[in-house]
Amino acid sequence: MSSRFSLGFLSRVYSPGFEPKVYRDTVELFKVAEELGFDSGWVAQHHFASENGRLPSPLVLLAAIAQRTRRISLGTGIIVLPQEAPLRLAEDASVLDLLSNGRLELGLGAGFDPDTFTAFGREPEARHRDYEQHLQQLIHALGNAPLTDSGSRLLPRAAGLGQRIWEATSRVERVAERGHGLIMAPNPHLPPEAGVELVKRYRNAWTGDNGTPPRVTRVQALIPNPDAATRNDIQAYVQRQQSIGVYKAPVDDDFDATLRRLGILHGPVEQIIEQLQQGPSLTANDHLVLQVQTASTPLREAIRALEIIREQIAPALGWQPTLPQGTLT
Amino acid sequence: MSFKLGFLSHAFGDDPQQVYRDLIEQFEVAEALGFDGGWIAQHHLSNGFGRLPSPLVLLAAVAERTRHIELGTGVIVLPFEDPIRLAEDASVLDALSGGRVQLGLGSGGANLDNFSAFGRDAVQRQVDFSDHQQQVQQLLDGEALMPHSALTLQPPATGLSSRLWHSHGSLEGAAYTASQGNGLLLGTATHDPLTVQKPLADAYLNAWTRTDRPPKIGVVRAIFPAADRAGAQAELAVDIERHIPRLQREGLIDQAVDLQEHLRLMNVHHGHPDEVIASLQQDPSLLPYADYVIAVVQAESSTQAQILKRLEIIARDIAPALGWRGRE
Repeated sequence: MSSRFSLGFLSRVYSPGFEPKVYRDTVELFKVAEELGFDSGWVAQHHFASENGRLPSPLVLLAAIAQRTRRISLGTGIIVLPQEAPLRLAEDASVLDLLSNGRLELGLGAGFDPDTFTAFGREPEARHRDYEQHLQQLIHALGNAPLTDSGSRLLPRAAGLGQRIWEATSRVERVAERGHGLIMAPNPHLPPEAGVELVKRYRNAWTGDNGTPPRVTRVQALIPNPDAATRNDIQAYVQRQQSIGVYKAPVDDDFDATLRRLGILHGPVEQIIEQLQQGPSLTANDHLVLQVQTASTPLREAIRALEIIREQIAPALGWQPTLPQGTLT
Repeated sequence: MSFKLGFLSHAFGDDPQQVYRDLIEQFEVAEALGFDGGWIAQHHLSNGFGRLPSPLVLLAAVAERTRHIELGTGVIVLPFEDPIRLAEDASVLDALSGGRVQLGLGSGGANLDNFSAFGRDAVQRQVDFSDHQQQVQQLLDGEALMPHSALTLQPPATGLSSRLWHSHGSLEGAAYTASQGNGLLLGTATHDPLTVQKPLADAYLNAWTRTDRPPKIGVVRAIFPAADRAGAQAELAVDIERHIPRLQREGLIDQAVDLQEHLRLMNVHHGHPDEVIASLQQDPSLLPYADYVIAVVQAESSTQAQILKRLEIIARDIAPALGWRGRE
């Protein structure tokens, strides 16, 4: 068997306005991705439709998706941990993991949108402290620790879920010390090489104490042929990120330069492959997770992008689909 | 008078994964039998007997396997929930299921041991309940949580705020439910139908003032039909005996008596379908009040085959005799 990486896609469940169809389309995208041989699908969490993300409840949607798929891993990319009640999250994640036969990959992050923190009655400035506290409580519960004076524990227990936690943060040494996976994405404020350095620091800090190997999920947007609508989506995204102080880099006049700065893969397939080869190298424990939609991308275009990845891009990077059992070769 | 017919599961069982598979199958079978709804109780941590802390996650799976049946919670322990996260999860499930959610809420009176684990004070549970319930309701109505924030719920919850239910054990609680315009759930096993439940129902109806929608009462009843009375009792004996020490400890019964008497005290309608029909017709707080009759058909040691059989007998033989008209 090859030591290939895992191939995934990320949906931010974007839509310019809400209609229930955005959830049905996401379910459909998971089904198509599974048929194409993708190893994982990830959904992002957004509260109050921050940046047009329409899904505040990734575990609820993934429970529906689990009934429509059999094999594909179900990831959260990411859940905003400071805004969650940690024990409720541990319960919901465990139930979903049992419903999906152990397919959950639990990605966590600290969040960034100050308006949503205010709505939850939390201070945006305290989010890293809250993140650490909630993470400790989550690990405690998943680790079967007693939670009451009478010794009650989390129920149900999902075997191995504690080893499928991922963190999206630049504090990579902490992630390594905790034995968790690292989710990394392009940083518009740093040169593209910074990602390679980040992964190196993470791998160097790995202790292996929990008996698992270090693992990296590299998340990147891939828009094969950005059209005028995509361009508007991306410009609106940058303006919004700028207005809340998250995007501090210059705004480029040239759209191509904007795409490069944001790390959005685009253009001819050969160029995309070359850019992916420049990133951190991916081993058998790592995931390459590609986001193929902006706010207004129709489902058929997202499916087309997954097909291009499946047929032309991933194989050039050394990935092959896992053949279904019973397939003749 | 007609009513909706539902069933309620506490998700008993040894292996949670199997319990969840069985629950999904119960919804599929109930839908095929014409049931209007299925309701799931939320139970937290390992000290209880129910195996499901996340009814909305499980109901999302059920939603993909069914088309019509309503998806109820009976009940969610509201003091343990963040109101925004609960409103979001319920609204996502409602969008996924085509508007099938019935959201039952409670204050956690049966979960007193677990409050500390969730960082809550059991003494404050009624205050937490009404705070959280009002916030959830505002969010579902599309209102912002002012002055805190001007943001409104996403996804918007079309109509879900008119599908909220409360479970209360006091007359004040029943009147409060009416003041909020919500449905009332009755029927804890230890609430006597005549001396406790009937006054609650009356207090609720007397306090109802809204003109834009009618009051609604859901009544939960343990219904265990079998070929005959002896057969039904044989299926229940182990579980009833298991409860006796707890009921005595909690002061709900004075002393252990015979099985018949325990079944009567716990208001378990059982026996041949004709006996069950007669017994339900005599229940003083059921048919005179119920807009939704919600059957509990699972005891702790019930098998899946027994559960599915009871659902079938209720839908085919019992509910029609009480005036139920199933979905066309």
